[in-house]
Amino acid sequence: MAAVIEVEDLYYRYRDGTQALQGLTLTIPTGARVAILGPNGAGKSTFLLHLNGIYLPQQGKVRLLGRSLDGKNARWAKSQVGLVFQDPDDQVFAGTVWEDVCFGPVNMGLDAGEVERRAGQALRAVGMEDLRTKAPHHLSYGQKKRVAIAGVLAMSPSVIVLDEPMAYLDPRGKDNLLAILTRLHRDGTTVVVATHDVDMAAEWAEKVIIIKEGRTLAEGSTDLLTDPALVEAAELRFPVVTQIFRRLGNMLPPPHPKRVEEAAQYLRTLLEGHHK
Amino acid sequence: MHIPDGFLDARVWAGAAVMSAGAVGYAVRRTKEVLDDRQVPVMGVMAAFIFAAQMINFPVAPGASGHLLGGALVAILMGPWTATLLMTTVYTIQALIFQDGGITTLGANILNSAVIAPWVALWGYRALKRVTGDGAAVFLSAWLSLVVAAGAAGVQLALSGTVPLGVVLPAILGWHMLIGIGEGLITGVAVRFARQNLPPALDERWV
Amino acid sequence: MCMTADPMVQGGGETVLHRVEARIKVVAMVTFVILTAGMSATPYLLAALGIIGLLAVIARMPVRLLAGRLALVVPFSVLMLVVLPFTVPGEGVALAELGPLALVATREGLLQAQVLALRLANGVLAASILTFLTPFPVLMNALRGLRVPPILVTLMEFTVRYLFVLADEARRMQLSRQARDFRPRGFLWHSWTMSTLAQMVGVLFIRSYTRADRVYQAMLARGFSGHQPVRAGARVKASDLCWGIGITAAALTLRMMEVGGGMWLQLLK
Repeated sequence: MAAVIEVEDLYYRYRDGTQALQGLTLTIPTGARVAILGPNGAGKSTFLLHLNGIYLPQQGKVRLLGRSLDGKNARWAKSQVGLVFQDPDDQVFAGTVWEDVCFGPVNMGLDAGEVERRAGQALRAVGMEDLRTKAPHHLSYGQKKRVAIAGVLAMSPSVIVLDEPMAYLDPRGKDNLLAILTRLHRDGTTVVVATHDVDMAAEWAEKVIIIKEGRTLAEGSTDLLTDPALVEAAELRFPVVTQIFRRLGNMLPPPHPKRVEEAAQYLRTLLEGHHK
Repeated sequence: MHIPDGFLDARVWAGAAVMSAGAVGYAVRRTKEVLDDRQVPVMGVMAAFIFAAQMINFPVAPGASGHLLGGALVAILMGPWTATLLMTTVYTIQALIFQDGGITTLGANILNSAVIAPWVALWGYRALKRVTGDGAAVFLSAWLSLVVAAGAAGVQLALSGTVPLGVVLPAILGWHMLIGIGEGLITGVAVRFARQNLPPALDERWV
Repeated sequence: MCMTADPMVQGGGETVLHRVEARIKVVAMVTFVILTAGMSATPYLLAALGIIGLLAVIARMPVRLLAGRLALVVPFSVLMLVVLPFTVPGEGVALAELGPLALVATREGLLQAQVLALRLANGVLAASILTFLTPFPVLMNALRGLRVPPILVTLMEFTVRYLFVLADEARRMQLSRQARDFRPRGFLWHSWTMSTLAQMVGVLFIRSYTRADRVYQAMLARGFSGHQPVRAGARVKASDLCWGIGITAAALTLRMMEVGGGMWLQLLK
């Protein structure tokens, strides 16, 4: 699978001296569902801001669709990579839902008709078309989140990156969001999620990238989430499903399942064997 | 100190409006030169901060409470021109949307609270810093900024023939000398706290 | 400052007045306030109040809302209105005894207070009809159209957007302190109370500032470059102009009659 984003030996240091990234290297495959995990302070947020050219590499490279990001193509990068920030109140700033969703397309210099078409489509994609005239402060948290996503979708990015998307959502809100992400992925968008939620990562991701202290600790399939050494080193914990099977220890041979469906399948096979 | 409509005579409010329009116009130009337009979102959120901070009440005397005005706080932390723009924004919204302060008197209210108060605070702070040390300078200049701004409002009311100067000035100055202590204390602690805790990556623009 | 009065809540349905173009509404209301704020004859002030009442009826503005706006009038003005009768020199008409203090209310003082109260009511009600008739985003766009510096309008839009977010944050901070039994005690010189409140302001400053930076970055992420395009306002129709001119002319007529009446009286003397 071709890579939409390649990061090579990326370094970033803040003016106060904090070295946030020190040699980060990773690959995001085109059309994949990718989860980035790592403890607080691992450099996730700093890294995300590199993906669409808000921060430019001080050292190393970020390649987007084969082009190395620099000051000249930073604007293009913003139309290719959509960032959804953790707190929708940070992102949804305009007076009405509609104006906020139009913000990105207008910045891209699109004509009025195209702006409207895209904004309408984006609002439909997140199921918010009926609330377009509302002021953001009249919306629920989950609704604001969906408006934030629509504001990014309206720019038709090839990659959409969400920082901790599930935080503070109620169960229904989480289901809604997962459905949106699934649809986006089905329609060909690469979806990247930075999260602490190992259960979500285990259920949803195709590829997992684990970051610590500004470096890549590991990248690979969701099997990484059940690797005891890695989980310990990255200050993560096992997915709940895995925890149950690990408790049963030697009774059940590894590899232990990490997703609900996997676990069900595992138990089904086990039980069928038992009944025979 | 929101002077309502009808309390100022046409010459006074028109004069004050001309003066504050000049000052705000200059602040707009200065802000464009010193900060680029891209800082506007940051300033907008900070104007909302002033609004929110004005909602925190402190007890002054039995049955009476006051709240921070914030002109000195933003003038000392973010510079006087930024302070003028932020306070102008706050007072305009209060007049236009919440009917707190009049429409004809908006110019006078801006002159007092968005021009006089921040500038008195800044000058006072600069002059006192060497003599009294930083903490006391913040307290005194914030106190002074409130008293001078209130005095200006009193003079405008008297010039309009609304109340005799001998009545309005002692009353308005007395009250503001008292709540000015609150303004001074809160500004003093908040300025020190903000300087100690502002993430270093952020503070280089203004502070 | 009362935050329960949400300026964004729009009253009822669409009326003829709601549909008048926003710039016209702003100009008409400001002119109306300028003209009536200068009047000092009670009958004319009452007539102006009558016009406001008529407009409120046409706009189907709930009486409750109008009364609420009046009740919000800052204590400052109420205090002045109470003090005035006793401080303006003139012929004594009433005596109030507060213990050892004997206060004489003068006829001039009472009249002054009455005139100021009427002007105040005119101003507050006219402005509240304007906000009732015009949704906030539309009002801001009208200000842009009226050549208010764009930076100020943008600042106002941001302020109203984040006002609720930050006020909420302040409220949460206050609640969590209350949960640990903090309550304002004593007065200005109660150092525990004052330093706690001051730190809250300091924390709110830091939080606002870091939030401001995140907002800015989120805007950059969507390609913000410092310029916000001006949206076109609606076109002004003849009927809009009629309303604008009508409201302005009514106020102007009252004002002229008042001035004229004064001159007439002088001529008679």
